[in-house]
Amino acid sequence: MTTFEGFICKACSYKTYPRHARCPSCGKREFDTAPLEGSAKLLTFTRVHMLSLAYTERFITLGIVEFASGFKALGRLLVDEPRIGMKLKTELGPVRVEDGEKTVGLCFREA
Amino acid sequence: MTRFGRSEGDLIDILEQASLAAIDDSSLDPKAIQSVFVANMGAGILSHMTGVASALVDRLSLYPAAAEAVENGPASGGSAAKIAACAVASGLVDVALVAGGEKMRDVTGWESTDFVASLSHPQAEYIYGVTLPSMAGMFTRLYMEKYGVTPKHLAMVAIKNHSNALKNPYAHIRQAITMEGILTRPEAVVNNPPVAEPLRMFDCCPVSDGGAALVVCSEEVARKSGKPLVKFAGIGQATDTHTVQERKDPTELTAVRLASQQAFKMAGHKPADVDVAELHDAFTILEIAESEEVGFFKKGTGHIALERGETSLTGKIPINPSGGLKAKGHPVGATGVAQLTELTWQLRGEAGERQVKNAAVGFSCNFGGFGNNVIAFVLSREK
Repeated sequence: MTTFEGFICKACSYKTYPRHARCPSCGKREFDTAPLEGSAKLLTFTRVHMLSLAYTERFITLGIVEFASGFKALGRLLVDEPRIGMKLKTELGPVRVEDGEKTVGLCFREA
Repeated sequence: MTRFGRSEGDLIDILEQASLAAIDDSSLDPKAIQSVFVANMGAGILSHMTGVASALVDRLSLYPAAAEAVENGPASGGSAAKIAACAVASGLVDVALVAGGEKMRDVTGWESTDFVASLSHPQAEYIYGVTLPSMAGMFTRLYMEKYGVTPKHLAMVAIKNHSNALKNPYAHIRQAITMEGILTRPEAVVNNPPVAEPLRMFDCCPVSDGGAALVVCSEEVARKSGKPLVKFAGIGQATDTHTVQERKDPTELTAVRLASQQAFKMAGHKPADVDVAELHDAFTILEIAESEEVGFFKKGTGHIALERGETSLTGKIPINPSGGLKAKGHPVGATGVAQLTELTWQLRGEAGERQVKNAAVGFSCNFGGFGNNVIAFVLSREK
């Protein structure tokens, strides 16, 4: 099963996503992991009309969220009318389909 | 440099044309060129071509000059110029040629969008269909929320830079635009459709072919050439997180601020000393945000300075007299070099109708990724 994980520095507890080989805060190299899941807050978003290869939709909506756990991530917004600060819940779903192959990623719906 | 837009030839033809123009302008014997630095981001993907620096040396018969290609995303041009300046300053060579070029219009819009998006983080951004306009769209929304920037301010940047580009024979888009036509009339939504909300088409740079080149040499060589002298007075470079989301405040362009501070410190100048600037306005919001981060205006007031006309061609600090990336165009590998070419013309008093009066100190900001690799230059006119 696909999971998305954030990284917590064992030395200073600094949280990062995606992975770094060295902690951006203290430079140490050992991390615990924690799943990117649960509730999140929308920090910013955009509705993208001019899409890249592999997308046949009229538009997609992308957003940057902050999880209740403190991690931040970008993902697909499955919300009709997004608002900065709105509460979201996390799920995993297809975010890219190329040559019939689906890539799963972080998706967010209104909580 | 070449006229930006759509070029008939291939990438090496573009680099050739830009290089010959720079060599002829320098009045130096081409045999004096000891090193060639080619700035390019996408030859391997867009032109199915590698080894472009060697190919350019061959086309120009500059053997046995050393040849290197520099790929640093949309900051490739600034990187190549910086490396050339370092090579000359170190005494390794006396004369270097810097040529930046890109051939982007041989592929479809979807392909060029995907190519540029390949600089995003593969797992945390790219898989979601991130495009550079989408990153700029998210940045713009936050900037609007935090600082009161409106669509009207974004349109003002586009209108100013299109107006400047009308005076630049090398510009890709030479078309006057109006507030009514792109924003306020009902039909504006047709003329100016959304790309990545809140950004619309006229908030985004075009996809361009084009090349630009410079000859960089020691002061001793330059004085013998008899040409007006323009000096790399200061150079700065800084990086930031690959993903925008990891920045404590995503509206801060920390790498722009740090690179600029380094360049000003090295030059012994302040932002207030700058007479003319070329900023990396791949999106209209970036001209506003960068004008603050480089130190021309306080954070959150760039749009107010814009409203007052301070960044217009006759304003206190003219920004993007060339038309900027917005209207001059953005062949990604060429852009950082083209910014320096424009400043060189401005400081020599050779910029024609778009000349900024008595320009003696110039500044450029070449912005890679979404602000994760930035190179700043202070150029000065020397006696």
